[in-house]
Amino acid sequence: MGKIRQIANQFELIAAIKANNEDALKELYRVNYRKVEVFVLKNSGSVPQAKDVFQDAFLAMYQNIKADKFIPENETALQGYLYQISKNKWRDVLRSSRFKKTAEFIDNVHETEDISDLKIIEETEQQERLAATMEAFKKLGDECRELLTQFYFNKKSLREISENAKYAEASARNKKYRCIQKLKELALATT
Amino acid sequence: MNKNSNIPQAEFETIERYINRAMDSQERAAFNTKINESPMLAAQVEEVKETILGIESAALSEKLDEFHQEINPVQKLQGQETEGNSNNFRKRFISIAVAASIVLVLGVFWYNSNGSSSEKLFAKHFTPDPGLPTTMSTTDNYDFYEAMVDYKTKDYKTAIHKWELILDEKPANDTLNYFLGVANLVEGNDEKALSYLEKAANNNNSFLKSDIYFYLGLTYLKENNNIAAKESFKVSGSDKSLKILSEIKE
Repeated sequence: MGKIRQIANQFELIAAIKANNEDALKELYRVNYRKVEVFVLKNSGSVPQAKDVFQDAFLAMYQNIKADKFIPENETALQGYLYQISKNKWRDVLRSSRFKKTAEFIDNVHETEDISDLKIIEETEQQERLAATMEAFKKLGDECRELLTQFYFNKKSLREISENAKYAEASARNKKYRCIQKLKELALATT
Repeated sequence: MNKNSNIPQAEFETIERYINRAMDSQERAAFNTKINESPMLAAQVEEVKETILGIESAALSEKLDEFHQEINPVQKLQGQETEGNSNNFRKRFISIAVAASIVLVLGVFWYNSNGSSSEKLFAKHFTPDPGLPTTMSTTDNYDFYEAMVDYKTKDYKTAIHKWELILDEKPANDTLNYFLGVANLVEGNDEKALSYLEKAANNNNSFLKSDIYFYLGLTYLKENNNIAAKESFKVSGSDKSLKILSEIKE
């Protein structure tokens, strides 16, 4: 493929990600995975763990880009950002209770983050709500998941969606709303 | 966020149009004013944004395993697993990332082809040793563990090359010879595998003794030398070895 090489600069890449451009996302994933895998393996991890960490980091990066929390400062800023998030996430795994012996990973990893406690709490709560929504999404029926994915991720119109589905365009709007209500219900139930 | 608030459909859809920039400039300006004047509306807008982000993230999350499949495999064998398989079959193989799973696929294909019964037995039971845990913070044996990382990422040629360099200093080392043996076996270099494994086996007190003889047995099986294979499996005594022993027909 190589579409990512066609994207002249970071801003275009970020715009593509915001627009949920699957080719750009896929290429970004593909190109950056191995480096993370090597890092995790060099630090007491396994290949499945590397994949999990990378996917978590990828989603976190995606959410930050969507929320305009990432501003690129150079040609490879985004790739570096993704790598940094991956490393941090792996360090967090190691520091958890199951890995008491690996004392080499010292706690000064996050010392450069100089933000107030309140902001940290807000961000943590938002992370939790997002996670709850994502978990709830998995529990939705196929029809809802398909509809919401097509509408919100693939940016299809309700008309296009209803053409491929069992219901008419007129009911698609109401269906979408009901799916979202269901999603919220499920998300609240898990918190 | 007010968890008890339920944004009614009409209001929800208006907020959505605002977020998606589907309003004309006049309507947008008016709505902006409303947001500035009403903290509750502002909060609702944030809530809708968050819900949408959650949905998009969930949708993306479901695609990540697909993306993972596009990663160029180090071994050519991975191409075979995507032919005409159901989603579950593919996902199962992706989730088993250890080299062993790839060789198992190879084993199944071999099993169905016309090999001798010993070779089939080899194919059925051979999975490479998963490797030792790697912590690069240890400064002694750094080179060994660096090559172990290559081994674990299935880059056997590089691992072999690096380990061979260390071999000059520690020619009789059981661990070194053992892993060189297994790596060569994966690469199909049976003779080299045999010579490394036999060297490793010279260490009578090796803690790897059982594994060394297990792989020796497998190598002999592959070479159709059932007698030597049986001997090796007996010495090994591990459960895996005994199981294969029971399956050798002669």
